[in-house]
Amino acid sequence: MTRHARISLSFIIMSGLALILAMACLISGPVDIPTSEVMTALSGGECSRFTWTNIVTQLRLPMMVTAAVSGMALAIAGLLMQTAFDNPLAGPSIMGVSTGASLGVALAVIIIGSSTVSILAGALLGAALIIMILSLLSSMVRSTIMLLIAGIMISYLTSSAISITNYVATADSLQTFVVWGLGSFTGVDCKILLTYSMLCLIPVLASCLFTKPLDALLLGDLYATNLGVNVMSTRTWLLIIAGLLTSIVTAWCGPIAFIGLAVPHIARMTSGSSSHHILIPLTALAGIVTGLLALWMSLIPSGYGQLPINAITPVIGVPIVIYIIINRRRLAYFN
Amino acid sequence: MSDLNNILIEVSGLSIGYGSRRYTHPLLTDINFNVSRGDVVLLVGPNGAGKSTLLRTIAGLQSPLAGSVSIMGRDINKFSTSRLSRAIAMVYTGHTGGGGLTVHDLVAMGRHPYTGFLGHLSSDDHRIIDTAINRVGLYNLSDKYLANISDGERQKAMIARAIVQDTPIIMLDEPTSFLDVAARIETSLLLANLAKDSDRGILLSTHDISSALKIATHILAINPHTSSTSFLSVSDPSLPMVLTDLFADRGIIFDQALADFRPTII
Repeated sequence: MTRHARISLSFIIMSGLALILAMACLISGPVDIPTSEVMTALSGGECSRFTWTNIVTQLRLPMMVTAAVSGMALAIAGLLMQTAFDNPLAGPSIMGVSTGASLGVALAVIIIGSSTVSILAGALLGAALIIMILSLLSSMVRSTIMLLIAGIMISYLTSSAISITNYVATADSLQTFVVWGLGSFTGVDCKILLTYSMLCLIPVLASCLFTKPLDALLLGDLYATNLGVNVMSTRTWLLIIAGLLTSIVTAWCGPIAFIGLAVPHIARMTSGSSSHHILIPLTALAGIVTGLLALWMSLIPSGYGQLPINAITPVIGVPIVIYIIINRRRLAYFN
Repeated sequence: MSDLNNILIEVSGLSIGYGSRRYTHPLLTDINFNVSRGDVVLLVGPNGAGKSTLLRTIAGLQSPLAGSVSIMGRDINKFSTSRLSRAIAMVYTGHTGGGGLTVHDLVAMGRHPYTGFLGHLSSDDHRIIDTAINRVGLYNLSDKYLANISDGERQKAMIARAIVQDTPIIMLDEPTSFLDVAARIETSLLLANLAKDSDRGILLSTHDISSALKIATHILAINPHTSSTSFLSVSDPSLPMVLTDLFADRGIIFDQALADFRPTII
């Protein structure tokens, strides 16, 4: 199979999977609704039962769209971080950016109270803080493994700060916070769905403007500079975009682990390419697939309610990460 | 003497090294030389003498402590990173990342300074890329991953990338030092081929004196003992003396008959 065919095939398979999983998410749930009725509701008609129309259009559809755009956003955040830090195991959750956003949210909820604005502001500030610490560390620590460990340490420190804030929180806000921390795609309702999707989509589109510098960074800072890339400012912009994506998703869906770390590798392994003009769209698409897959898996025990998303994402992400660690010598993009 | 329009790099009274406003640590002072079109200037000197620092300073990656560097008549400080990428192409030593890129992907990056935001390649760009890949003899490896070719092939791909960058100046920082003998010879032949392009100037630092001397037009010798540099043509009769001075303290002299360094006592 030629390289071109392999890349095209990856896009076709991912698109197919996205469609199938989107449909699967719409027809599964605690309430049994026949597929034909779901289709009726989606095409704007009335189901034979009024509540079914409501469930499909007011609950399942926003939840499905949220899962898709959140998966896309986190996957792109992971890809940008992996290239910016020159570290294939970097990602928004493992390096503590999601945890930083969580800390921001915890503090915001305690200090200002729980509102969309306070949660979003808290998440942005928390993620920004961790991104700044990571940038500072990356200029001091050259070894990628050491940087990764430093990121994980920061993550632990942030977790402990979260635990301390939880200790002083009221029972009510603690309950909100703990549930939110488990990750869920139900937090975005119809009213803000469009806003949320745009907030996720704009940074993803912005990342497309960086395809050339991202490719150049693969060769290291010296070659990137020689190709006309202002390495410092490019890296800063990439981390700002990654931070924005992470904090937007974290604010509404909670700190979702593993999608950012694992999905860029799915894109690299299926397409066999490291070029970002292929990786950015394919990672976005694979992120949509993974987000939908996580949502669908969380709906499987339908009789018992919905599983937290963070109970699902490691099941998808960990095998992929272990696989790439074991096969790192065979995977071209590691060498 | 080349005429003024042909001067690509003009270095005058240059001091290089590290430092801040208050404290400076100059490695070398008062460096003066020119690189004109058609020149191949060979930078020689012991490790740590400042060869890489000099190349980095000329490439605009590091500020001069004193003196000036002009690229095609314009001060280096007045160049933006992107403008500079159309003036100087670099080839560094050692292994690079990007193992998941193909040879073609890598060489195509040399067109970055000329393409738009999304990096769309025109048919002209494709022709330039294919010509360069052919020229370095990697035609059959064009679709191979960098991870799956040898270090020597990888370095040839880097040189092809530099050719594709289509700059008047190519600077190479010890491009062969990490290669095995065969790859070293092949790369040297490739550089000799490159040196024939009369519209380009090449500045090359290397420890592989004997093969580099075959293509060099000038030598810039860095003598760390005196913190000084000598710039002379390869036909200059004082060349053996200048080269011998570089390693004399370590019992190594330059032998003109061998066109290489050798111990004083054999």
